[in-house]
Parts: sequence; C-alpha cells; structure tokens
Amino acid sequence: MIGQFIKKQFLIMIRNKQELLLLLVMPFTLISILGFALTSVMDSKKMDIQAKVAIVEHGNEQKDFEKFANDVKNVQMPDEEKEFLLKQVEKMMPISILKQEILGSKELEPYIQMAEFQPSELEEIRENDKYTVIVEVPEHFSYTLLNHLIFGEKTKPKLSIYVNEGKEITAQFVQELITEFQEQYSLISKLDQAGLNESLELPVAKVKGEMETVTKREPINSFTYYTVGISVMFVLYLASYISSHALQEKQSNAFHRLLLANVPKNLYMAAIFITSLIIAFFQLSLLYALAAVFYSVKWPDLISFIIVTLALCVAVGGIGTFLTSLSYRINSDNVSIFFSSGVVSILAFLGGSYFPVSQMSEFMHKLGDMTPNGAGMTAYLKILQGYDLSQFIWPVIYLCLFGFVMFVLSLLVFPKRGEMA
Amino acid sequence: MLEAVEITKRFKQTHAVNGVNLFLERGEIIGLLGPNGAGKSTTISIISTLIPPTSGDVRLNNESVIKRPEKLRKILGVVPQEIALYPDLSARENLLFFGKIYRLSGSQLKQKVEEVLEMIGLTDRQHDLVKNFSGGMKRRLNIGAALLHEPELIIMDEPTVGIDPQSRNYILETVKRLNKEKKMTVLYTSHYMEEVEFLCNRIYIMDKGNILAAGTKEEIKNILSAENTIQITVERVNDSFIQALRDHPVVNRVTVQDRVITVLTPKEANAFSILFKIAEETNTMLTSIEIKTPTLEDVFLHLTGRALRN
Repeated sequence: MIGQFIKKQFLIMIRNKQELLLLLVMPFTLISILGFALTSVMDSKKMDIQAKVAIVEHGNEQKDFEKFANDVKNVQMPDEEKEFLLKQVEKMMPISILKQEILGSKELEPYIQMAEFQPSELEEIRENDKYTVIVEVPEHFSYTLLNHLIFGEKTKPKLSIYVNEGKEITAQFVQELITEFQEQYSLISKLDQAGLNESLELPVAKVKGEMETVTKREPINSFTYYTVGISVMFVLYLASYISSHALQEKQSNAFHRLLLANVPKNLYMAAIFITSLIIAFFQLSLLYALAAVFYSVKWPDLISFIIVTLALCVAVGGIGTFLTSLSYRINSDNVSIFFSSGVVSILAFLGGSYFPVSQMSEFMHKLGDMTPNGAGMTAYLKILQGYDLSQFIWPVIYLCLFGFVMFVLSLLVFPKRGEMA
Repeated sequence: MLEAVEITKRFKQTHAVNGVNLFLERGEIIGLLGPNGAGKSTTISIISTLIPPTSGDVRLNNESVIKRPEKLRKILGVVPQEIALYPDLSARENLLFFGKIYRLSGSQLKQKVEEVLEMIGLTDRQHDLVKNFSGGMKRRLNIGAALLHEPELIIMDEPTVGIDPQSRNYILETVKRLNKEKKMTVLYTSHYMEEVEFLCNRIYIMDKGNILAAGTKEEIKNILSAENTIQITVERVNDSFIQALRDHPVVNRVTVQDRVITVLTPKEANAFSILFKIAEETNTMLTSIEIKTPTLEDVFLHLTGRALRN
C-alpha cells in the first residue's frame, strides 16, 4: 500500500511545475550562480592558508642522539652494523626532519611560518591567538622514539599539539601534515631497519608545491562546495512540500477516505516518511548528477555517497512527518510556511550552505553539525576530500537518529480520531 | 441495520448535535434534511465513525461501532461534501489509488474501476486530470470513489452542492439506481427538499442540532394537516400589509420572498376573506392567491419559522 502513496505523490509532483521548479531548477541555478561568483574565494588552490606554527622543545635532539649512540655501543652486534645504524639514525632525527624538511620546507613556505620557542615561553604563546598550531616536543622525545622504533621498546612518545580553535581549517591542515609525517616516519624507519627501504623517502618529497597532495585530501572548489551546500539546503524544502500536500489531503477530506478504508495512522505516517525519503533521494541524486555533468563534481566513493544521501533522506523524512503531524494538529499550513520561509534559511546558514560557518568558531562548527543539513554537508565534504566512511560515521548515525526521533515525535503529536475533525 | 442512539456532539460551548436518534433499515434511502449549519455533517461524521460523539452510541446490527469502527467501515462508503480527490491525478488514477487503499488489486481492481467509471459516466474522460473537470464531473467522481469496494451502506453529504441541473439529475438517478440494482442502503443529506422528496423513503428534518420531525413523506406532511398554506403574490410588497398579516390572530406564520408571501392559517379559519380584507385596508394589490398542498419546505417553515435555504 505504501507503494501507492509513493506513486501518487510522484505523479502529483511531476505535474506540479512550480514545485519542481523550487526543488530542482532553483537549487541548480543557485549552485551555478554561487559557484561562478565565488570561484576566486573558494578555490582551494588560491586559498589563503597562512599557518603560523610554534615549536617548543623541552629537550635537545642532539643530546638524545648522543644518548642513543651510547646505548648502541653497548648493544651486542658487529661494529660495522653499529656504525651503519648510527649513520642512518643521524640522517633521520625526527624533530630535525619535521622542522627542516616538513614545516620549514620550501614547498610549504608560502603557507607555513615556523618559529621556535623555549619551554618557558609556552604559556605566553598559548595565550597568544597568533599561532595556528603549537607543537610541544617532550623531553627525550627523539631518544624514546628511536628506542621504540629500533629496539622495540614499548614506550612510544607523543608530540603535544595545541590547535587554535578559531583557525580551524588551517589548523587541521597542519595537524594532518604532522600526523601524516608521524605515520610515514614510523613506516619508513621500520622498512629501513628491515633493510627494505633503500632510498629513504619522506612524505614531503611528494609535496611538489601543492597543498592538497600533502594532506592527501582532495581540494574543495566553489562548485563542489555549493553543490553540496545548496543541495542539502533545498532538500529541506521537500519536507515542507510534503507536509503541505498532506494537509491538503486532510482539508479536502481525502484523508477521511483513507481512515474509512481502515488505513492505520502509523501506516499513513510511515507512507509520508518513506515518500519523503525516496523523493529526497531522487532530488539529491538529480542535483548531484547535474552538478557532475555540468561542473564535474565527481564522487570518489559512490557507496559512501549513497549511505550519506540515504541518511540525510531519513532525516528529511523525519522532518516531513513531523511537520505533517503539526499541520494536522493545528489544521493550518502555517507550520510548513514558517519552516520553509524561516527555519530552512537559519538551518542553511548554521549548516554552512552559504559559506563555511564552521571556520568562525568551534562553537559554530558544533552547532552547524547539529543541524541535519550541516551534518549531511560535513559528511559529503569528507567524501569529496577522500576520507573513509569510518572517519565521518558520526554525522551519518546522527542523521539516522535525527530522522527516527522526528518520526517517533510525529506519531506522538499526530491528532487522535476526532481531534482533527 | 444501523442506528444512532441519543448522539450528542459538543465543540467547546457549541452544541452541534443534541441527542439525535436515527435508524436505517437495509435497502432504504433515508433523507436528512436541514439548512446549512443544522448539524447534518457532524451527525454523519459521527455515524460514519470519523469523529466520536460526546455521548450516545452508533450501532451496526446492535453492536457498537464507536470504539471498534472497522466492521462498519468495511461495508460503508462515504461521499463527503468536499471534493475529496487529488486534482493533479486523472479520474482513473484517483479511482485506482482509492481502490488499492481498499485492498483491491489486479483484475478485480481494473474491473471495478471500469464499472464505476461507466456508472458515473466518465469513461470517456477517465484520463483527464480532475483539476480540469467541471463541478458536476468532480461530484460524480467523488461519488465513484466511494463505490469501488461495493459498500452495503453509503452516506452522501450534500452530493449535489453547486452543480448544474443536468449533473444533479444524473447524480439523483445514480443514487436511485444504486439502491434499486445494488440494494444499497443510502443516507442522503441535503438542504434541497425536492431531492429528498424524490429519493427518500423516510426523512429526518434537522435544525440547530436537533431532529425536529421524522417519518415517511406523508407522515411528515401530515404535521401540516391542521393548517392551510396560502401563497399570495402582490404587485408591490407593502410593509403595513405584512405587519397586519403578522398581527392577525388567525395567521400562524408569514414569510416573504420577493413578491410572494406565504401564510399559514388554521384549516377551519375563513382565510380568504380575512386576507382580502387586510389587503383592502392596507391598499395592497393582490395579483394571485392560492391554497398549496404542503411541501417539506412548508413543514420546515412550520417547525422552525425559517425557510430551508435561508
């Protein structure tokens, strides 16, 4: 029976040109306008990333090396091997590499300014808003790390990284750079130790002057950003469209026909939920297909794309049923009108559909992620940047839970027999 | 078959329905006659289980359907006063949708849709969108959607409101045919007394939430057996003439519509001579005067002092 509701709603929708215009043509037009207009602002190759990185060393790496060399001398192994090992280790002292070949490399010079500080200055620079990231190197870091990597000591040292919450995107960029360095460093050291890595190659060698390859994340250009931003915004209008039609169904007494045919209330609400979900899926798929054809917005991981789209559609289905219940209860279209003319715009702003609000502050970032469109947008952008599903599973779970909670609420709010007549 | 026992419905301070008693026998056409706002729609909403009464009961074969409406709904078709259809779907698509909602499927559904389209005379227009239909066609389809599951009992709430005489006749003939050929029991509400007179075996007259009279047409008209209905046409309505009529002790009621004045007087009164005398005294020129056979309209006028369509 639910199939009949879906079919009916599809037929009504495709015959209603005004609604089609709002749900498909308008968002695509907006994507085009904003995409073109803000190309220079949003294009990642021209993005103004200016990260100031402070390094605070508690110890001295040279002393760490000497201490390690001392230890090696006492190890039982041929002298030739000891000498070879120490030569290799001298070339790969981690903090020196981080400072000289990564953060201080020529390739990253336009984007990163590095400065070194004494431990006594740490509190001062932490309170200073100037630095994007502060890297604090604990005492004996290099010594402990070399012992861990070469002699298999259990203790693995950690760099303390302080991130400036107000400069989130650039901070994330530096943080990923350091994480990547740590991973590559460990791997190369292991390979080197096993004699498999004849030519020691650190990640910075792959930089070749383009930031995006440093982090291994795809850049987000203006078309990509607005394809996602506008699509997740306009899919919300579908919820008010569906609830508005459901109210017409009630006001024309067509809903009474359904009641008289013994269609249970829960089935009716489930039909609205599933209809919203499916139409939202079609709407998003169509918009993304158009964006792929016209603006080359390609999805690197289709399965993740489908999962995120479905999760977002679940949330839209939940909103659609909730608005329907409210409209039935107060017997007025005002709820849908208020949602489409006011709430959607606010959600779109908070979710980052107009511009990346999350860059404003951590609070705004968290607030944005609490909106269904914002959570959807975060997940979509992560896919486009090449992240795995496991790295954005929470927005997906949040969207599903959001939709489910809204659906349950709509069942509670829906008027009982006699309350709506 | 179906009875409403002392049903009452209150909406806040308003008494929409006040202790209404009503019954339907299998195969009957029952008329519920009353002006707009009389409480007819609320009464049939309660009877059709769409809204629960504040008090009272609705029984199908002596079994209450207030808490368990499913049994009644299975055998019930309702034609609401509003056009309860999807305007952006064609006539056929509407019928297919409502048929499936009634769990019809496959060839049975197709056959029923064809049958209903034929019955309501819309076979040729079945693929047209409802929004492009005339008022009469919409009304016919509105009835058709209630017939798909072959209900034993059909409740029609003012099914001819706002349509042309031709479509109206078509609908009235269809109702007659349904009753005769399909043995369908019909509860028909209207404020058109001619429709109720034409269709119904028994009639309930309702006003302000109360049943004022009930019975066969003859029984109801007999309410007026003690009175004459005299219709006077005047050249020009004269206020002093109307006032004099109203003040006269043998005149029970006076209503005026354009130049036609309807007067109810006791049968034994010598009404004509009294009326001529008043006309002469007030200088009123009469163009015609006749004693009419009482109609349901007259009964309603007698019971409420108001015309049905006021």
